[in-house]
Amino acid sequence: MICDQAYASPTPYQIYKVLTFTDFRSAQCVDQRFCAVNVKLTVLHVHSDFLCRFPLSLSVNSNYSIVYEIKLTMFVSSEDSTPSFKGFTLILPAVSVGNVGQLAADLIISTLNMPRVGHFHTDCLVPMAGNNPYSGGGGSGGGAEQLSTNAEVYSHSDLRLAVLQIRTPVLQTKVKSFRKLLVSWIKSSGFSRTVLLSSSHAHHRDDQQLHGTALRYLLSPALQDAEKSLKELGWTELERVCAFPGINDSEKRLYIPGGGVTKGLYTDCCTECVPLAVVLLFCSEGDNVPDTFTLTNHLNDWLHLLEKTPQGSTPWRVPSSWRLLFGSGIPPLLF
Amino acid sequence: MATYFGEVLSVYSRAVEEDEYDDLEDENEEDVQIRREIEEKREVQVRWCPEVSKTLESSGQLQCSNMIIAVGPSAAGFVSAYVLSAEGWTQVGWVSLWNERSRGSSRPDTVPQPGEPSFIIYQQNSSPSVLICQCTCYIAEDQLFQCAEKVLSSVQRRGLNVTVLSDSTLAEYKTPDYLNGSGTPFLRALKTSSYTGSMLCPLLEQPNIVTGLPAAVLSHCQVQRIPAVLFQCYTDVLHPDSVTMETYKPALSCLSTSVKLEACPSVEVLQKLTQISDAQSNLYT
Repeated sequence: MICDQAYASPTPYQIYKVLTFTDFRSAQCVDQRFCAVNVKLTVLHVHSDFLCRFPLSLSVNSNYSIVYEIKLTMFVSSEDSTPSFKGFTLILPAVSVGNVGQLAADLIISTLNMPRVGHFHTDCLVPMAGNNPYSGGGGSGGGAEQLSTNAEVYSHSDLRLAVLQIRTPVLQTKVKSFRKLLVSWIKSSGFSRTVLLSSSHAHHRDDQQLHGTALRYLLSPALQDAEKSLKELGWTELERVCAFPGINDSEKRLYIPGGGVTKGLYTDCCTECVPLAVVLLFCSEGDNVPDTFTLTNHLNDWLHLLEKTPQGSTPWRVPSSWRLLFGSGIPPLLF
Repeated sequence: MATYFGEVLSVYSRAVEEDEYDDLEDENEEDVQIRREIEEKREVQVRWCPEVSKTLESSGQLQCSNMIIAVGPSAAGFVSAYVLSAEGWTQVGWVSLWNERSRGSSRPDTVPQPGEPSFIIYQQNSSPSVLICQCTCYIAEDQLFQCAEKVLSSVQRRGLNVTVLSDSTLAEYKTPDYLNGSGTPFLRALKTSSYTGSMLCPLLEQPNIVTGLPAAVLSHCQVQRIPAVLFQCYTDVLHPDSVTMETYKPALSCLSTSVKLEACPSVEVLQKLTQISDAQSNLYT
């Protein structure tokens, strides 16, 4: 018997009304696909940013002790079964200046014809919907009428590659939750390494950074063994800046202005021992398509996603959704 | 950032906010408490009339075969003029929410007054499994997901079909050929994978997208595998107008067995709905 109001439909992560119950059976409402229960526990004060699999025990006023498992996840598979990502490489973009990371992810998905395997259903992102952005010229499995949402996962089993494309900004109040949910999903999916594509404000570079390449990398301690191959490629690690410039030069900190969740996610991955590589480009807002090619070609040098042509260029395929980036056609009467 | 001519422009990003989120790491008890209170204040609540509340208490979710959600002044006007006036509908619920632009009523338990921005749910008298939602209030970005989730969670997923009607301006429509307004207003559609109905208008072409409550509803339906279709009407008039409202007629034609449409609504009804856009006063009158 449920003593208070409850929502009967399961959602992957959100926890709603308070439930005090005396009957174990009626307390459970588990959907096989989401594996989630939506309950808010007064005793344990679980908030919506709590995640990961954990067993909970709750004793209620009638001395009824209930133990059940809650698995909170944002990932919802398009098929009836959850795809396996064990040992895969995950590429995900940070919503950052110039949207370079997201454009790069678009390029990878479009060129490699990656089919969509699932959605990220979360309240941390602004909602958005549209038709298949990669349709026309092969499409990525789905036709032109396949509905696309704000965050989707694409997979390429031969290359053991998965790409999470994030199309809308992260809500200001949900940044921390989003980072935690991402880390949790990465860990539970068993990705062997994660690559975060990001960018940072070019005008914040110091004198040293103005020379040479605008590309930088960062590695979390769990992925330190990749450092050797990156150094062989001639990649530059992102420099740390003084925490108190002019006063105390010894204390350094990470500073990624315009990088969105990059710094936070990197710090979280370091703490949680997640193998993460950040590939970052200094850029400004404007026509960021050339920046995207720079970043993607740079990434390709390391991950070898695509073979170069004999002429030395990489045959990336621009998705159809990149049309009209700067607005509709111009009225002829203007001239 | 200094430019060539010497003036200083502030540089901003389309994608990210300028300030870092470091300050959020050093929150104390009071900040956490305030943040939680604001979150609770911004929570979206779906309220039902007493009869429906009783039904919900016993069975948990409402039986619904067709849910129509109209978002925007013209879509809501269409529903008022062509649908709600055709046969018996009862107001059974509303969504109460608070944000900076939608203050809601002072007491969230009171039904919104007619004419004020609101989100109202109607049930068809002859067929209680048909629901219409009329949304004319502003829903903030952080409330969109919650709103879609809570409204759709109150109805059973099995056998549910969702139709969304939404207004948009022609300026938002991207096309390679310049549209000079001769074809407007027009409809474009988006549908979820499980929707099997025939398409009455072209699908929304890339690179156009849909945001706001229609996008939240559609995303929820896509993920939950509910057949849903969205009809977006692009119009060049900013205020609700009768021509735009009429454009929605074909959108509900496939539901003609369950939802009766008023073929020609009376002039008075249309005038009342479109009168809201009269200028209060300006400097010259």
